[in-house]
Amino acid sequence: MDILSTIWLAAMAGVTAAHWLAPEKLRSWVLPGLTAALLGWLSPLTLAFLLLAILLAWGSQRLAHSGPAIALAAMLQLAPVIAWRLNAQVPLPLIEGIAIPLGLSYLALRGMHYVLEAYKGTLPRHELADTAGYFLFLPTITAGPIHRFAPYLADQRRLRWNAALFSEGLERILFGYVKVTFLANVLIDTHFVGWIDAHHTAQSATHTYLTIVAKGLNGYLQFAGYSDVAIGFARLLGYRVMENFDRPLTKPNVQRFWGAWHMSLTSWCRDYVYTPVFSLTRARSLGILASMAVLGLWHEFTLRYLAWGLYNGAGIVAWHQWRKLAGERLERQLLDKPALARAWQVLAVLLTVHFIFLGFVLVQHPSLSEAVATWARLLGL
Amino acid sequence: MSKLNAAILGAFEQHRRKTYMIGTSELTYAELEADVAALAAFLRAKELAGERLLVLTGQDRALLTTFYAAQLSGVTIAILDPKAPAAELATLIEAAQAKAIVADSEVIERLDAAGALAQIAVRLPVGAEAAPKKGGFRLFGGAKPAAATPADDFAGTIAAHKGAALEAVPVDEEAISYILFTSGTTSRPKGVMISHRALNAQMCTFVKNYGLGADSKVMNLLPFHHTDGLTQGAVMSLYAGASFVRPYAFTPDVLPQMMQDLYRHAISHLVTVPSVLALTKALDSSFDTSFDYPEFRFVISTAAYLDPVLWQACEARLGMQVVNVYGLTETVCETMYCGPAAEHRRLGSVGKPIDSLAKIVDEDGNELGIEQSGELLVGGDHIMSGYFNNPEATAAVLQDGWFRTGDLAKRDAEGFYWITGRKKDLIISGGMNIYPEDVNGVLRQIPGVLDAVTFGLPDPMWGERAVSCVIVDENADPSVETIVEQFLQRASKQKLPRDIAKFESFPRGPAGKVVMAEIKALYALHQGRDEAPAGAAGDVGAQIYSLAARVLHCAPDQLSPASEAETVAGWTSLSHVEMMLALEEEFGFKLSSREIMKFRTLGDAIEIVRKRQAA
Amino acid sequence: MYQILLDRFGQRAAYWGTMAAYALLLGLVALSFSAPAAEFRYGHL
Repeated sequence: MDILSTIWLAAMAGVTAAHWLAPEKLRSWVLPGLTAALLGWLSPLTLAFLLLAILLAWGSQRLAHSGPAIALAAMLQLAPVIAWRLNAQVPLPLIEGIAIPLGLSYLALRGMHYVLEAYKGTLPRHELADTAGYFLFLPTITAGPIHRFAPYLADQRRLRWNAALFSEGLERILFGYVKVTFLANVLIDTHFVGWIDAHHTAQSATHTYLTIVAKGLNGYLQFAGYSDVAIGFARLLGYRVMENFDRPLTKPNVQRFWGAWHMSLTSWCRDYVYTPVFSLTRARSLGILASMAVLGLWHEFTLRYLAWGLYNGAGIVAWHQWRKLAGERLERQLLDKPALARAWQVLAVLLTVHFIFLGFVLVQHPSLSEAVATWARLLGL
Repeated sequence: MSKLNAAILGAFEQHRRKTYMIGTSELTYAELEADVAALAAFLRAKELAGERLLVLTGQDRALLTTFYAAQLSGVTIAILDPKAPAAELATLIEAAQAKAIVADSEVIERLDAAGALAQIAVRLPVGAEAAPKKGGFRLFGGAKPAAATPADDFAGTIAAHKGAALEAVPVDEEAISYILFTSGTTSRPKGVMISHRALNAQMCTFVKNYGLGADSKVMNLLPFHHTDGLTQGAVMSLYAGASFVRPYAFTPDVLPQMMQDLYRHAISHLVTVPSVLALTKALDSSFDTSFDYPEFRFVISTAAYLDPVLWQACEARLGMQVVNVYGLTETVCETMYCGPAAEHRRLGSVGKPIDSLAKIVDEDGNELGIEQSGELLVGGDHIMSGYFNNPEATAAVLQDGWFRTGDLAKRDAEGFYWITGRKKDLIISGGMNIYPEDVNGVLRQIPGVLDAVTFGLPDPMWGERAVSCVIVDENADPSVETIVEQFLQRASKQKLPRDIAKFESFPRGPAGKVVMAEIKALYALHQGRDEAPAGAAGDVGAQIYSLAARVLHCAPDQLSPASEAETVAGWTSLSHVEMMLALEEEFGFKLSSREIMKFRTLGDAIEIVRKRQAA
Repeated sequence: MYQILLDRFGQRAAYWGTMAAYALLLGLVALSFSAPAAEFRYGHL
C-alpha cells in the first residue's frame, strides 16, 4: 500500500469522508473499523498481527507490577519483526517465503512503547477500544511516524470537525506528494542523476561524490514526503500526529541532526534504549552506541546496518567529546565575533551533512566491502 | 436609560442569530431576548421597579432570563445559593426584604416549610428543565406534581407574556443592579449592592482588557451566586456579543471533561480559580495539549491567591498564559489585572489596576510609598454602593470614595501590586470566602459546643483551609462527626472547616481575647504528625531546584515541576545524565531503571525522591 | 503557507498567492505522479 498507489489515494478520500459523515456517536469506531477492513482485504496476515498486538498490549497492563513479565510482554511485541528480519537472512520454518506484513516494524515499536509505558505507570486511563483505535490508525500504519498513545488518546477524546486543521492537512499532503513525486523522483533521481551520469565518468571521484549527495537528498525527500502525507492524512481526520522531520539538513552537529531526522524513531530509542542502558551501566557513550545500534538494526538485521548505526553513534560520542574539550570554549570565543561565528556555523552544517551522507554509503551497497570501496573512490583511490 | 440597559438591548439587537449560551442545550441571543421580553413585561405589570427579587435556581437559563429582565425593569436582583440549608437562607432572605422570588420548585417548598417566605407574595417556581440533563437524575427523582398550576410558574409566566415587546423602563445609573451576600450565616448579613454604573464600568473594562469580541467563546463553570460566575462569565459575554459555555457546573470529577471541551468548543477564554489549576496537576499526560489550538487566548485565574509556583508550572506544562486577577465582590469582580498585556504581567503579582485607582495606606490612613506594605484601598466607577441596610458596615469600608479592601499589599517601583497579607478576618479557600466569625457562630449554635475559634492555614490545593478549634461540654461531649453533621444542617458545605479539633481551653490574653498565634501553635502541635512531612516535602522541591539550577546553568526561579528537556535550554541529553548523577549523589541512593525511565521532568524527580524518603 | 504570505503581503495577495502556489504544485505532482519511483527503503518497504 504505497502512497503512490491509487488504492492509497482512494483510501484517504473514502476514509475521510466516512469518518466525518458518520454520526458523532459512531465516529470513534469508523477509523479502526475501516482500517481493519482495508487491511483484512489487502493483507489478512497484517490484520492478524495487529489484532494480536492489541490483545497482548491490553493484557500486558496487568503485568505492570513485574519487571520480568513486562520484559517478556515487550519481547512478544518485538518477536514477529525479529522473526521476519531473521527470515530475510536465514529462511525460517513457518514464515519462509511469506512477505513481511505491512508496517510490522512500526507496529513493534508502538507495541513496545505501549507496554513500557504501562510498566512506568504513565498510560492514561482508557478502554480496550482506545488501545485498538491506537493500533488501527490508518494514516501511520505503513510508514510512521511512530506516534505515541497519550497524544492519540487526547485527540481521540476531543475530536471535532476543524476546518483549519483540515485545510492544513490538505496542504501537508500536497507538500508530501511534491517532495516524493516531483522533487525526489523527477528532479533528483531522474534529472540530477541523469546529469551526473552524462557529465562525469562513472567511478570517478566527482561522480561518486555527486551520486552520494543525490542519494542523500533523495532519501530525505522521500521519507519526509511520506511523513508529510501521513501527518496530513491524520489532520484530515482531526488528529495531530507528532512530527518526524525538523529540517535535519540544516543542523550544526550530529546530535542535533538525529534529533531532527526520523524524530519519532530517535525519541523512541532515547526513551526505551538509551535510558535503560544508561540506567544499568551509568555509561553515557554506551547508551548512545546501543541506541544507534538498535536504530540501525531496526531497519534490517545485517552487518551493514549495524555498522551504520555504530558509525552514527560514534559520531555523536565524538561530538560530545569535542564539545567538552574545545567546542564550548570555541563557541564562547566566537560570541563577540558574529561574522566568524556565522562562518563556523555554515562549516558545521556542511560537516554534519557530509558525515551523515557518507554514513548512508554503508547501507547503499549490499556489502560493507563495496561501501569501503566507494569511500576509497572518493579519495581518488 | 442606564448604560447597562442600553448595552443589553444593543446586544440583543445586534447578535440575534448568534449563540449566547452553550449550557445543557444551546440558547441563542434571540431566544433569550424573547424570554427576557416576556418576563420584563410581567415584572412591569407587577410594579416591582425599585424592589428586590430573589433568585435561587440551578437552572442557568431561568437565572439569566431573570437577571436581564430585572435590569431592564429596574428591579434589583439578589442571587442566593439554592443548595444552601434553609436556616442559612432564611437569614439572608429576611435581610433582603424582597417582594418576589424566582426559585426551583423544591427550593420554594423547602423554604416555605421553614417559614422563610411569609413576606413574599410574587413567587415563580422553576420546574425541571424540559431537556433532560446529561446524567441527571431529575427524571427519576420522584414525580412530584408541581405545587403551582402551570400558568403560575416561571415557564407559564413566560409563555403567558410571549410576544411582548422588549422594553426598558427608565433606570438611573445609581439604581442597584444586584445584591450578592458575602457573609452572614448567623450574624448581620453583608449584602453588596452593585449599581448599574458600577456593573457597566466593570463590563467595559473586561471587554477591553480581555480582548473580547463576537468571535470569543468564554468558558466559566463557577456558580452564579458568586460574582466570578455571573459577571466574569455570562454578563461580560453578552457585552461582547460572545458565546458563553457552561454545559455543567464545576466539580472535580468533570475536570477531564472540561479539559476536552476546551478544544471541542474552541474556547478562547477560560475563567477559573487556582484550585482548579492545582487539580490539573493530577491529570495524565494526554491532557498536556488541552490548550494547544489557535483559538485559545488565555486562562483567567480569579477569586483567590495564585501561588507563583503553581502559576508557572501550569503555564509551562499546559503551554498557555494565566492572567491572574484581583478583586472583591465589592469591586463588582476585579480591580487589578496581571496580563494579558506584557506590560501588565509580573509573575507572582496581581499586576496593575485598570480603569481603577489604588493606593496603599498605613494604620492612620497616610499614603505609603514604594515597597511599603499597608492596606490596599481602591477607587473607581466599579466600587459598590454599600452594604444593603447596613450603614455601619458600609461606613467602615467606604471612605471619601475609597474602598478599604482589608488586604495588605505593596507597590513596586514599576507600579505592580503585590498582595502581602490580609488585615480583615477572612479565609479564602478554593475561591470561596469564609468569615471565621460566621463559622464560629454556627459552631456555637450546635448543642454541646461551648466556644469556637476558626482560622486559616496555608494549603497547597485550596490556597487556604479553614480550621476550627472548639471547646465542648464535658457531659454532652459531641463527637467531631456529630458536630460536622449538625453544622451542615445550619450552613452550606463550603463553610465547613476542613478540620475540627477539640480543646479543653483556649489561650487568652489579658482582655480575655483568644491569642491567635498561640492557638495556631497549639493546633500545629496537636497535628504534629501530619504537618511535619509537608514541610520536609517542600524542602525536597527547593533542594532539587537548586541542584537543577547548578547542573543546567540557569536560575532556580526559571524552573518548575514541569521543566524538562524541551522547556529548559540547558537540558540536553548530556545534562540530563548529569542531573541524574547529581540526584543520586545529593540524596545518597541509586536510581532504579524504572525510576530513570520515569524521570523526564523536575516534578518526576521530586516525586521519585519523596517516594524514596517515604519508604 | 497562507499565514506566511499574509504576514508579509496582506490578505488579498496572500489568498491569490496561495491559490497560485497550490495550482502550480498540484500541476507538478500530476505531471510527475507516474514518473519512475526512485529506490527508497526505510525499514518498512
